[in-house]
Amino acid sequence: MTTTIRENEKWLEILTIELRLLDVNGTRIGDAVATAREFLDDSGERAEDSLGSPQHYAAELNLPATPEAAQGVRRALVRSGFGVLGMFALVESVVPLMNDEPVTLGPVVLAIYLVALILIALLPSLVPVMARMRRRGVIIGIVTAALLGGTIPALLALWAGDRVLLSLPALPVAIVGAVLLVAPALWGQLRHSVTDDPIIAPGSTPSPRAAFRARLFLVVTNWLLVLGAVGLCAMRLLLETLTR
Amino acid sequence: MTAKQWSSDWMRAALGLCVLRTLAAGPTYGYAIAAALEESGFGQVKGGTLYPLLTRFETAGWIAVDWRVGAGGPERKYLSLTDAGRREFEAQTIAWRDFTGTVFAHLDSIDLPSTAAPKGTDES
Repeated sequence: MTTTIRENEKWLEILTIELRLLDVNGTRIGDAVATAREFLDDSGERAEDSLGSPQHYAAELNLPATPEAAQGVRRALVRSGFGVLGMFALVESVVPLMNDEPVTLGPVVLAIYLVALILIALLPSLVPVMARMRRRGVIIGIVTAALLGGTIPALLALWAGDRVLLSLPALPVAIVGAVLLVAPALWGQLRHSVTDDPIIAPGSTPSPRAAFRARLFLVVTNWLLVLGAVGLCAMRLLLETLTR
Repeated sequence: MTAKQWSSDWMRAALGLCVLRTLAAGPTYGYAIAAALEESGFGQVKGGTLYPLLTRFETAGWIAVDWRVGAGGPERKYLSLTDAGRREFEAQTIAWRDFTGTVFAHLDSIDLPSTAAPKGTDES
């Protein structure tokens, strides 16, 4: 019985994710989840047996999508694109700035950054796939690999030699990079995009704990690139020190 | 009543009307609807079949929802027919009787036209 309750709670969690992926608003999600929970409590059945898979059930409910959801994704994408450009600029300029040299970019580094930007453009398609990967270890692995991937250009630049496609003064590049990196994070922070649409159970208001978790999630996701940039700059400086 | 397994095509065709009929008796909730249908001999109606149907009815404005909240949080989602839902139920009932009458009339007909091809028609 306890196993059934635990399995059902897990099923309801996945249903919430599936409905979010379908851009259903928080109030409707809260209603759908409470309705399913009520039925499962009454029947004592396993959710998978009674309601089917969460993905199929969410699709069958055919709840209307929030009209502004697609627009929100596009805006987030533009913000992420600027943020990543800023991170690249800052990471590439930190060592030249320290050595009072221009920022130089070779073909390999430019190609890698281009691929990274393409990956960001594909994020709306990748996020649902990652969200449906139930194993958090895999997701953490992908994110860690992506962050560590930022050090690859430094290693490849060493390997590719002196061929330079682009040479720019370090200070303006660093300033523009910092602005592009921090401005989207600040904008996202002020917009409160997650707390705009919390999941609300029928007849209740969002709990302070849930609101705190939502805010924490918002802060972490907004400042992830900034934190990543700080980490990558530190790695660049460390590599520079080691190779001297 | 012994559980009977009806053809899924028949169930798909009749379930909506039978759910409306159950709701016509007064406000009720999801599991009670499923239990009433089982009691009436339709067999077990799974939540995965029932709730998408109820959501469609709600979107169509045929049913109204009322969460009756208890002290410990949300308890039951009570559903009731709206005026539009009642009209829909009456219209569908008339149409269904008409349709089943046609089916019975056909099944009970003594002078059925022969479906066998007349002998010799395909010989030129």
